[in-house]
Amino acid sequence: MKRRISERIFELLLLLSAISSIVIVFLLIGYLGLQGYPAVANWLLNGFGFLVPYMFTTMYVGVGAVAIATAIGLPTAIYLAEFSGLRIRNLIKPSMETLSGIPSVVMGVIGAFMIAPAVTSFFGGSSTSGLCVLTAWIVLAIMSLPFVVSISEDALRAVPNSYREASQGLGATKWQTTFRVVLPEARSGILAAILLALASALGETMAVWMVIGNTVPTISLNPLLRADVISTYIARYIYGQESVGDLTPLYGAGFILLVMIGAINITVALLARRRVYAKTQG
Amino acid sequence: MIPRAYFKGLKKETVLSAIAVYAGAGLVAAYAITILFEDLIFSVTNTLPFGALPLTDTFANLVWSIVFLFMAILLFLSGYSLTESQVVGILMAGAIGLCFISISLFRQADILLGLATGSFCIFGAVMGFLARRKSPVVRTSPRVVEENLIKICLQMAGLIAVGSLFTIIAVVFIRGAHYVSPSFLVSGTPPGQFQKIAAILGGFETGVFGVGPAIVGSLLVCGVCELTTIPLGLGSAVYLAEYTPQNMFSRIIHFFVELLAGIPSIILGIFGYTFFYYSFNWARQSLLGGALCLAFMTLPWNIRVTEEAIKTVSDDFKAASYALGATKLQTIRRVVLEVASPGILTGILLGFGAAFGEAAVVIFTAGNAFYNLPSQISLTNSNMPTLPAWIYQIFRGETTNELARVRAQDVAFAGSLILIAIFLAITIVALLVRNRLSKKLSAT
Repeated sequence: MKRRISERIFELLLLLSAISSIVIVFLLIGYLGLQGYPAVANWLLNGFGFLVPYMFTTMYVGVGAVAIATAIGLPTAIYLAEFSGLRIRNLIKPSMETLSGIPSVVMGVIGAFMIAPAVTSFFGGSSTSGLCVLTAWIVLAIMSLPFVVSISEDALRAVPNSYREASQGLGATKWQTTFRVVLPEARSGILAAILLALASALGETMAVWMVIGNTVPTISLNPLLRADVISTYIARYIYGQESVGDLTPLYGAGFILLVMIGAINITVALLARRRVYAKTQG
Repeated sequence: MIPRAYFKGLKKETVLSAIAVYAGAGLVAAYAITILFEDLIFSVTNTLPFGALPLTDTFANLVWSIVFLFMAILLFLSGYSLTESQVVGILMAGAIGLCFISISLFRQADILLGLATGSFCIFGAVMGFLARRKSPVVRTSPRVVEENLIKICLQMAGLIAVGSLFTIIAVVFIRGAHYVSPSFLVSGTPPGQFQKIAAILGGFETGVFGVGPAIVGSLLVCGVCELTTIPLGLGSAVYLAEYTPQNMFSRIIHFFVELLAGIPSIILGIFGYTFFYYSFNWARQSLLGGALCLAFMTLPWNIRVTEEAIKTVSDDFKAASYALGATKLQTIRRVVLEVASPGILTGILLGFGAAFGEAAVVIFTAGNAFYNLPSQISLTNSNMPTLPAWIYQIFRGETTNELARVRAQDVAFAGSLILIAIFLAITIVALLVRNRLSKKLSAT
């Protein structure tokens, strides 16, 4: 009897800890929503005003960085999944894992002291320091590279081998097989990889904060201008603030950022569900 | 260097073309290495940090050396394919040759190198072409050419991906290493040169240039964070893996875990910055507040890793345990967790490494004290120094004084070097633990 009670208590404790993540998510989103509600309501009624350039640059920086990361990461993933031998794979895979673990503050230091001067010396930059959107693109692209590589490689590997054999049996070369058969089949997985990388790039704070130049942004496609994204806007204001002021716009901006990232994550979840559905149907 | 047998049975033109291209590759590689380590060579001969500063053009040099290294690798590849008399080699050698000639026109400084390498490459390409013309029997089909070209492009992408990691580590090491010393690691009484730098930097008091307090502070924050994450993560994972079937409830929990994993660090930062201050009247930056916010960040990771590890435990073990009359609790404690322990421990250690390097959360919630550890550490009231915050402070401490600015950069790189070293050490320990434990388990 005593044993049964202890089992029950144990199960209850486990249940409580399992619920903890739900509680934390509600706590975070609720607190943010509650504090930022006046600002968000105001924006919804009267237009987003000053926040629009921030939202624009956030997307611009994120999309540009992920585009660069995809341009390098997708071929790498294809190479790993379709062409490479075990030895090269054993070199690239651990390097990607290590790269994903490089702390963001180190990436910021690299970006500000190495990439930014390089950008200045190549493009002239808007300022002498080279802190601009382009630098943020490069830094963020390096940071989201491991994401793109590992997730799209998984997607490519999930394509059954019989497809490849059938294609090569028909006389297609390896590249034709990859391009015509494997890539279309893995399309939604690769899209999910890109979107996940975008979601994490939008929320990245530290490295972007150190390299983007921290200036009120304008809506401009020129990547050599100093700018700011939503996360660095929040960071800059909290960091510079000594006394307790009105933080409502910061909470509101954070809430908007959360909504943007949440929308991407939900899209990815829907994509994954459709993929599973298509598999079971086909 | 290249064994004779390698060229045996090849035509004279093929051999000539390959040698020319290899020579070009060697030239480029040597040049790239020289300009990469120009800074380092200078620093050794001129005893930095109080010699003249050689850093006027280092960054451009670095980028150029990377470009040249890539070209050298490409040239080696094309030299290899020239010995097989493939069209790819001819095309690549020709293209790179033209590239070098145009670089030499663009960058007057390297005109000799560019012209020499360019003519080598073009000579190689022409020779390779002649060799192919002479033997019309060995025709590669356009499909094979395309295949090889694509493969080389893919390899280049992989090389860029790996190269970026090695470049980062090399740069951090080259620029940070000469500031790292035992006293930099441990103490608050740094060697004389740091006090001078501190004086130049102006804003910093003398005697603060050690990362010792920052490392201790980071370890404390991460330790407290793990104290909350490990039980919660373990509990959630056991519950998800062993107590709930795949139903709506477990799917909801998984959804929220994913959601929590997607919350960006700045949100946790702004939450921790005000929530504990207004709700519990703690300091804005406190040990416990920072640790809790970090825990929110690492919890999803811990749950995921632990659940994976538990799911790999085979059902046979559990069945055997039940058959012996063990209860569910006993089975989980003595069998499931025991067998899954290598995976769980590795996951926890890797999570610790990630938490150690996290900056945005820590700066706003745990603290950005720069000088020393607080004399009395209280959970809710002390502003902790942490290593990522330390690096950020140095970064912010830039002045307009050129000398001080470069010094501050190097000190920031030195801090980064320590941070990366700690992170790599934790990763290696984690992998060792996994290998060791799983060997032990499979032995018994």
